[in-house]
Amino acid sequence: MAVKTFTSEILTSSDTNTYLANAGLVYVTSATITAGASSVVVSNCFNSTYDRYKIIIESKVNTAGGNQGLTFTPNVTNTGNYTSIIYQIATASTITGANSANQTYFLCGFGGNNQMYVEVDNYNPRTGTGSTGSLRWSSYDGTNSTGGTGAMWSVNSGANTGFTFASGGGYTLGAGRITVYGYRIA
Amino acid sequence: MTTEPKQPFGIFHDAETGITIERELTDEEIADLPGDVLSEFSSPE
Repeated sequence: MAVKTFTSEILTSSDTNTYLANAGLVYVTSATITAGASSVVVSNCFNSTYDRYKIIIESKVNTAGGNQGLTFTPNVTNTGNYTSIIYQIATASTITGANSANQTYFLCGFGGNNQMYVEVDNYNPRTGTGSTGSLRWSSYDGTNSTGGTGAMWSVNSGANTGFTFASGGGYTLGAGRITVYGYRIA
Repeated sequence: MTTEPKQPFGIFHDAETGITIERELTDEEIADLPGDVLSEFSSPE
């Protein structure tokens, strides 16, 4: 669809329906992360309206030091998922890499009291078995920066209708926000 | 005077209703939380 340049003061219903309602990414829902929470469950965000979703997570570990992991699980019940991930930690002088496979969740950022940004693309989550997704994250704790990318696939017999975001190791989350968008089906 | 540590709490957001609640996690949900995540990810030799 071409981008239209509006030149008159009249916005017609036809133009509204064509150029505004037919956006590419459509807001589905958002949740505020309260500092001190251990986990966030967003349920019923994957429905029949869209097949593909983008999830944006801005959060951090609510602790003043040390590397603690944050995780993203592609469903609510933490079962039937497999992920593989590659990540790196960059200090002022060295870069350390690591990888892992067949986890039930993504490692999606770590560090104490850092800033973190995660993007998840989730494809056909409601199909359960056969649904896939990818994840990318970046974070910075004031000293080290980290980044990672990974892939997930599901062997759930039922549909994935939501997801879980949590802090590992008994640590809690910092304040943040989760927003879910659907890719409009043309 | 001592107080019992507060049970970890979670945030539960239902996109269908738009309702978000904060509540203490059940023992089952606590057991389901990830452990020391980084120790599960090994560095390459």
